[in-house]
Amino acid sequence: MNTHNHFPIDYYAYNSAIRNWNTGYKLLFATGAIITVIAADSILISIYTFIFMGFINTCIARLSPGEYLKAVKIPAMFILLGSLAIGTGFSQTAKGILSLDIGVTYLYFTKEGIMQMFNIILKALGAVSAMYLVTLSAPAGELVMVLKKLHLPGIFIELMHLIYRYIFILLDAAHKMRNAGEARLGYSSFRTSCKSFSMMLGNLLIVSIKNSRSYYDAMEARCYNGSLEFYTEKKKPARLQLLLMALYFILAAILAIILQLEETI
Amino acid sequence: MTKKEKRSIFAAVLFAAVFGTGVSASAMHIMEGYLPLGYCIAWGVICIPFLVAGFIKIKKCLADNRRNITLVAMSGAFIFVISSLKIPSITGSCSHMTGTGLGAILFGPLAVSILGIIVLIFQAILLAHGGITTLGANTFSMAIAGPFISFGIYKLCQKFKVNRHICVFLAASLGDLFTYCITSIQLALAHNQQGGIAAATVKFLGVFAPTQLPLAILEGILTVLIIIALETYGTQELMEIGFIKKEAVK
Repeated sequence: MNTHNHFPIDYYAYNSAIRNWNTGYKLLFATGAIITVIAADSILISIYTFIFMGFINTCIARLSPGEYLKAVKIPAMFILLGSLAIGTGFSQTAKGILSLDIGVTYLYFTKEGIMQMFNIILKALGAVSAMYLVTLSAPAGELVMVLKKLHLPGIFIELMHLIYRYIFILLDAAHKMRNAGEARLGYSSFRTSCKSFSMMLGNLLIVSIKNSRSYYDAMEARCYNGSLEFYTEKKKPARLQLLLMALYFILAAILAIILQLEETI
Repeated sequence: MTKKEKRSIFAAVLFAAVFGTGVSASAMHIMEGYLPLGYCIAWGVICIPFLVAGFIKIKKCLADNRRNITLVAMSGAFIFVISSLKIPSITGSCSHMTGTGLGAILFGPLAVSILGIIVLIFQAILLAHGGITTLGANTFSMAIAGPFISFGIYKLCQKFKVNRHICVFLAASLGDLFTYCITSIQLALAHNQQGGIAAATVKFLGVFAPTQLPLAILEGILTVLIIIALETYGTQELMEIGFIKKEAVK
């Protein structure tokens, strides 16, 4: 089996065309863009960020638009439900541009509510696309190295490295157990799947606790003495990349200024 | 399992099946972009004391025996894996457990707060559930509030000598529900322009209820079944992580 099935995002990150860009730079760029989107709180800047990041993710990072859209669609359910709750209101009487009688109260939509709903949907899309700049192009291990540079405690960093590794070991084991269960009709009905699923997880925990001892032995055999060291490539951000980041923030600032001017007029 | 237990599980599963209308639902991670900056920072700050306490707990655990590091890491990976595997459902929709309830029962709520934040970071990186700026809020609802309630309920039930499996069911499902309530409140605090915080909370609770209520019940049932499996085959391992006291087995 290939690991592509586990996490498409991780797979894309390893195969990204901009994987060799400096990870710290990508993280800084993405976080800066997310903060810009949230702080600006304007539809225009959200759309601008969505397009700009979409351009980087598809044209420069060479992710096919179909795959990129699939990734953008992951949080769709939350965005849909969450925005619905934001856009509607309760009232004893019918008001707004559309109201539904749901028994005890009226559920109503107002123009402002709907505008707010669109604003938050676009804000989420803008911010998510900015987040994808880093998650779709930087493997988790490299991101952890950036956290190390930020001087997070050593134990925390070490745990992250180990957990990242173990996730794949456990998922492989879980996948095999699931296959074995399915081959024996363990998932034929809802009831049996509940039973097989929890038996699999129980077994997974037992196996993982057993194995964790031998993993420590294996690490010790390779001279582990309390700290995990990883080699990192030194990748300096190229001038062109810095220009790209500058371009984003300058254009965002210009947009913000234009919006301000329009409001004052 | 006795016949009575079997019957009660079946009834509960049926209940979950009726309510589980099959909407796709991941656990309730607040997405990137949903919280204003002030709230992102505030929730992050609220998490800090819990995380520091958790960190000290883990550090002490490692100081006792350095070999525990692989065990702690494995537990973290296990929490991630249960939260990322698709749980059984009738309609073939895609839903996940939170897994932190089970984690809190097995490893204690303080350790889970640290493991939980790592799991949430990986969920954001690998699964695009949650995000960077909403990490604080998500950590509070999923890695702190939920596990603490789960653990509290579990201990309380044990004190009153309730059947262990019922304890586990209540702890896991109420922990899950509590996480869902906290997330709704978090969203309502940030977005309450129409009718105040209370109304907004009700709206968020209502909108997520069809997916979250059956999920909580299912999570409770699955957690009980996992504990049963563990008690049957993994007494040794459960003693190792301190879930069962050595005297209890003899």
